[in-house]
Amino acid sequence: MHFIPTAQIFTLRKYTQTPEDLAMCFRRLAEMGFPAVQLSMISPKIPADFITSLRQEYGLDICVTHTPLNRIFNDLPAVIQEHKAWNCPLVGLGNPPERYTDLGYDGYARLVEDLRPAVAQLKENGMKFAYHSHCHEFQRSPSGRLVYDMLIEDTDPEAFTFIQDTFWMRYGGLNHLKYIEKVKGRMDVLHVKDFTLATDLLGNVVGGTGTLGEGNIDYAPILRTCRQAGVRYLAIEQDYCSRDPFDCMSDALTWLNRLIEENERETAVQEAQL
Amino acid sequence: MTKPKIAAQLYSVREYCKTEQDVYRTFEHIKAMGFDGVEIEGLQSVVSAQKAALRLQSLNLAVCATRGSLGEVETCPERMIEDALCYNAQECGIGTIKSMYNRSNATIEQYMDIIAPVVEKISEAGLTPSYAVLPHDFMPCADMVTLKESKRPAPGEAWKNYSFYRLMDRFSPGTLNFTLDTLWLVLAGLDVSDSIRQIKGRSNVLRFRDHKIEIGPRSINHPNRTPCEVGGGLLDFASFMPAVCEADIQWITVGQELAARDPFECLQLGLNHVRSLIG
Repeated sequence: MHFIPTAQIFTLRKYTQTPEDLAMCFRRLAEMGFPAVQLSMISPKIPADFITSLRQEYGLDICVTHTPLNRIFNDLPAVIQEHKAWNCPLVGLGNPPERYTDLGYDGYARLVEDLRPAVAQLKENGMKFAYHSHCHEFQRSPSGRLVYDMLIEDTDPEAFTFIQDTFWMRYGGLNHLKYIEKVKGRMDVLHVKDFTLATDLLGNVVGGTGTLGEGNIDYAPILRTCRQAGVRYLAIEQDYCSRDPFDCMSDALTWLNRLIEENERETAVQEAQL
Repeated sequence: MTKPKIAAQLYSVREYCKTEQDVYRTFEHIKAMGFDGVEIEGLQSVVSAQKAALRLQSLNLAVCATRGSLGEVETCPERMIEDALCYNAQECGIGTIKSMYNRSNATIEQYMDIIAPVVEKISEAGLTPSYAVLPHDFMPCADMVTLKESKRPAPGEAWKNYSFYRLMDRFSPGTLNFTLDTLWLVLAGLDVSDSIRQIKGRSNVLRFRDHKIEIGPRSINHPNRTPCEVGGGLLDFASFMPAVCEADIQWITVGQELAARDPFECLQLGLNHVRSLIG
C-alpha cells in the first residue's frame, strides 16, 4: 500500500499527559491497527526514552512530531537526538506563537528567517523540518503575496517540508489540489479530517472538524493528487470530538482504510491500462 | 458552448437601492460598468416590478433571476410570479430552507410540500423556478443541532440526509433549478467545481463570491474570513471555469456579502476578473 494510516495523537491529548495514559494510547492505537503515529501535545514531563520504549513495544512508527518552537530554537541537539532514537526524520511545528502570527505576512517572513539555522542543522543531520499550516498562512502581504507561497518559495526545498491539513485548506477556500502539487516532494504527511456543519445556538451554520467519513470532504481526488506528490502518511486528526475520541479514531481509521483501498484499486486499473 | 453572461447581484449594492431614484441610478451605474444583467433581490418594497423592468429594458440590462423569500412563496406566490414575468427573468427564485426548516426530516418534507405547488405554478407561467442553495443544505438534519450535540450519520453517507440532495430527488430535472454560490459552498467545506458539475442540466445561474483571510482574533480556531470582491480573495475562480462550461451555466452573477471599499468598485473589480476568465 502506498499510503500509511497514521494517528495524530493531538486528537487524544487528554490522554497524553501521563506515562500510563500515553502507554494506553499507544496500546489502543496499535490494537486498532494503526501502523504509525504523529506525536503532538505530549506532556514534557514524559521522558523521551519512555516514548522510545512505547514505540518498540507496540511497533508504531513515529513519522513526524509537533515540537514546541522554543525547543527547536533552544534545544535542537536534544530534539535531534530524541528524533533519531524514535527513528523519526521529521521535526514538525504545529503552530507558530503569537509573536509571529500577530504580525501577519511580516511575522511569517521573520519566522522563516529565524528558522533557517535550525532547518540547516536538521538537514546536516539527515532530517527535515515540517511546517503544519492552518489558514493564517493564507493572508497576503500588502503586495498581494500569500504567506503560504512565501513559505514554499523562500525556504530550502530539501529541508523545509509541509504538513497540509484538509480541513484548513477547505476553510480557506483554496484550490487544495493545486497546493498539494505545489509542494510535490515536500510533503510526507497530510492531516486528514472531515468538514462537518452544525448550527450554533443562534442558528448560524458553523463548520467544524469532524470524524473522517462523516462530513463533506471528498477524498478521492485528494488521495490521487497526494499519491503523485509523494505523500505517504495520512494522519487522522480531529480537533474536537463530541464523543469518545478513541471511537472517533477507530471509525476514522475504518473509513480511511476504505479510501486507501479504493485508491489502490484505481491506481492498479490505471497502471494496467498504460 | 455559449459563454456565460455576467450579472450584478443587487444584494451587493443594497445600500444604494433604498429609494426608487437610487435604484434607477444603480441600474445605470451597473450598465455603465459593463454588466449584461442583474440578479434582483429585495426591490419590491422600493419600486414596482413594472417600473423597474421598464428602466432595465431601456438600459438593455437583462434579469437573470429574481429571488423571492419563503414568506412570499407562502403568502403571495402569484405576485412573485407576476414580478418575475415583468422582469422577463430567466429564473424565478423561491425562498430557501432556513435553518429552522432543517431541524428534522419532517420539517424538510414540510418545506418541500410548501414549495411544490408554487414550483408548478412558476413553470406553468413559463418561468424556470430555482432554489438558491445555502450552507444549511449540506448538513445532516437533526433536531436542534448544536456543535456539541450533532448526530452522527453513517460514515460516507452524511450527504443522503442533506436537504440539497433531497430537493434534487424530490424535484426532477426540469422542474426545479439550483443556484450555487461559491462562498456558501466553501463555507460548507465542499469542492466548488465538483458541486457545479453535480447540477449540470439543473442550473442556469451561478453566483461567484469570494473571501480572504485577514488577521483576526488570536485563537487559531477562528481566523477571520472576510468577504471581498470576486478575484480579490482566495477562491480559484479560474479552476472553476471548466466545470462552469461542462454545466453549461448561462449566467455568472458577481457580488460580495460585505464590502470594505465602495461596493460598486468591488462589483467592477469582480466583473473585470470574471471577464478575464471568460474571454
